[in-house]
Amino acid sequence: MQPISGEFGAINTLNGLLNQHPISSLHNHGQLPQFDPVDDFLEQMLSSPAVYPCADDHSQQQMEEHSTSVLASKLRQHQINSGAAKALMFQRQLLLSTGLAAGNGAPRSPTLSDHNDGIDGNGFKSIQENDASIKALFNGFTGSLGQISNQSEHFHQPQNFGGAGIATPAAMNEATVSGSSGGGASGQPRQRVRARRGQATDPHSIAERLRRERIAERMKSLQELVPNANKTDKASMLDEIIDYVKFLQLQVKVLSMSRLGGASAVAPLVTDMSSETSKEGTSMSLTEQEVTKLMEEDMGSAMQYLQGKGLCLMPISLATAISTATGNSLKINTNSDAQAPTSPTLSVLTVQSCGNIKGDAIDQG
Amino acid sequence: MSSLSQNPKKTLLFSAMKNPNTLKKKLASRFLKAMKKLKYKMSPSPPASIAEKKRRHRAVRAAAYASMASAVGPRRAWSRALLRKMKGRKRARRNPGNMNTRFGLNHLCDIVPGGEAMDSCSLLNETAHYIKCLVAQVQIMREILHSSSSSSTIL
Repeated sequence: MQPISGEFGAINTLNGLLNQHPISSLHNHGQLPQFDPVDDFLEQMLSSPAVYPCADDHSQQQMEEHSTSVLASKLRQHQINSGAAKALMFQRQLLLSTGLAAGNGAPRSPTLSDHNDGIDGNGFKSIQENDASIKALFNGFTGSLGQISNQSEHFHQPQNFGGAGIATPAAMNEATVSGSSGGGASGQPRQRVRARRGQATDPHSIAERLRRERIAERMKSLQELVPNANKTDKASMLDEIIDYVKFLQLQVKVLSMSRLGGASAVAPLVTDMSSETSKEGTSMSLTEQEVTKLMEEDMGSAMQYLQGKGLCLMPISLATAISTATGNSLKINTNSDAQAPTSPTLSVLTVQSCGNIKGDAIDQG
Repeated sequence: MSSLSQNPKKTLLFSAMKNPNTLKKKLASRFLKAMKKLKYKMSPSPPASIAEKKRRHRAVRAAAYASMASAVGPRRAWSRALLRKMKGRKRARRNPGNMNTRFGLNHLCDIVPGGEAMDSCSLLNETAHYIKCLVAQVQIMREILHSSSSSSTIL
């Protein structure tokens, strides 16, 4: 277990470097790094003899140190050229190699937990096997990579490269070579294991994912409300929604401008609303009551109300004359002291207790 | 926000989505009451000057929004914001660092009342409900307009 401390020193320095630079380079560049040179660099990496550990421990130690120095130099070189993907590649390479060298039970959690925020330190504490350590490293890396990819939504590629560092070095050898040929693509037909999102132990990424799903649900429900449901993408859907809300507000404005109805507009619907809410059958009596109320206040409004309903005021004699003559299903409003007879074809509205308005009504009618 | 705390909110969202009929009735009754109040406040005959007309239009529109907000009640964030605006109180702009999580909802938060003090999830919720209420309000106003203008006179 002695060679571990030396490597930890190397790891710490490299971690210090990698802490600052990858994320800052992400922010500074803001562009996709070119992934074609990454393939070249991968081949470079693989061609260098010092990366992969052998079974022998002593030579392993030397190889580790050599590999760390090689990686450090290459890291410096490539950080200047490209973005964070290569840096992360280096990081992963380094830690994988050291992980394989150190074997079991290494208390590596403190160093690993402070080099990136996203890595769950707990995952590394109980590492016993080589496979488990490799898997934990992989999870940590994909967690960190996933976090960074959540921050900038372009980094699909690093997760593929995150898959590159998986399993065994031999498989990785083949996988990276085969993946490097298709490096620029979305990475479907590769042999490597892609980042298993369900197994990301990073609480931040899980929360982010949940949040995104929730937002997607709400967007879908919004889409059903808005008439133009093209379902192309989020941005155009958002624009559609904004336009629709603006349009509705404009409609309210326009309708309020043409809202020049007076009592005729308001009164009948008030009674309609009350009749709808309270009872259904006695619409006529309600109209009668409304008309009487309006007549007490203002004759003009009462007349307007009746006009709004399609009703008019006429003397009973005329009403009976019309009813017997035509026999249509007209609604006739009669104004009298006594109840007028209601025929089956005509519905007659009688208003009582309006003694003072008889003359006016007949004059106007 | 943990997922557990979100689930009751989700169920609340789905249960609080009113049927269009009840919402419409409530909106209509409130709006008509507001209009009646408005009618008695202003001159019954159509006002002559343009300024009066403008004032009247604005009053009608304000009545529409106020009735919408009061019909919904303080259940929704946007109605609370509207009511606050009506009462003339401060805007209560508690901004829990929302600009980072916006993802292009900037214009939406300007349009929906009370949109700044919300995060993206609830902003989308509020937008959905706001759209529903707006649609109902527009329908009511249209119906009123049509019924009043298409009144036939036998005289």
